[in-house]
Amino acid sequence: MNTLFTVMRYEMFFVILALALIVAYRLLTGRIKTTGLLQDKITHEFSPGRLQMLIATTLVAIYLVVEVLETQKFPQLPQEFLMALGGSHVLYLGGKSYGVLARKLELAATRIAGRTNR
Amino acid sequence: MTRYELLGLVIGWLLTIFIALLAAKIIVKVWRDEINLEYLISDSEGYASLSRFQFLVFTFVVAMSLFYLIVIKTPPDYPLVPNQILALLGISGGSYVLSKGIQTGATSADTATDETNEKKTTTTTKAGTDKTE
Repeated sequence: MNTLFTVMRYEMFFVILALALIVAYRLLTGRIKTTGLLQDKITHEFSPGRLQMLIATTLVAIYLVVEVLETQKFPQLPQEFLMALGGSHVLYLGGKSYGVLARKLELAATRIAGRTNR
Repeated sequence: MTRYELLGLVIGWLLTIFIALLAAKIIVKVWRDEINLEYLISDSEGYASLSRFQFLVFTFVVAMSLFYLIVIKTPPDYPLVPNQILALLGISGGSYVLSKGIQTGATSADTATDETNEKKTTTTTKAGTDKTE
């Protein structure tokens, strides 16, 4: 049974590690597209909302890894932490919705103007 | 060793070998680009999506942490996953779904704009042709 456990451990270790290394390598060499990661999809300009979410994501990921390594169990994330992350998402999604809404309003205004001209 | 322990051992080895072969096949295909990862974090328009990227990061972080916590115990044991971790993945997944919904809304708005412009062009062209006649 012990041999089976050892084989399973190494197997899962190599699978996760191999996938993570391939994805990380391709992200760094640009073979996985990262074009527009920090750009607004509608205006195609740099988006601060996206940058803050990227930073929040990185910080939460680092915190989680450090806590797991230190305490050897999943951490009880503080409520404030989750709220901050939730807030970050609300900001990001709010910005995105605003962009779409503005575009739809612009479209509606163009249509109304077209009808008035007729 | 009892008959049931032997059965458990056989099933364990079969599963281990099956998963190893499956994982090896996937990794080789990914490495040879037979499974294309180019658009792994991209949306339908080809731009990188932050919510997809976040989902990718959290998936790897939680998977690696889970693996580490399982193997450090002897015998290996599944750790307790606190609600906060599930909430973290839930926020990330929920944001991805919402973002996808917003994106779809934007795409339909674009299609509507294109259709309106197309109609306008057709009407203008028709009017031009009628005048000529």
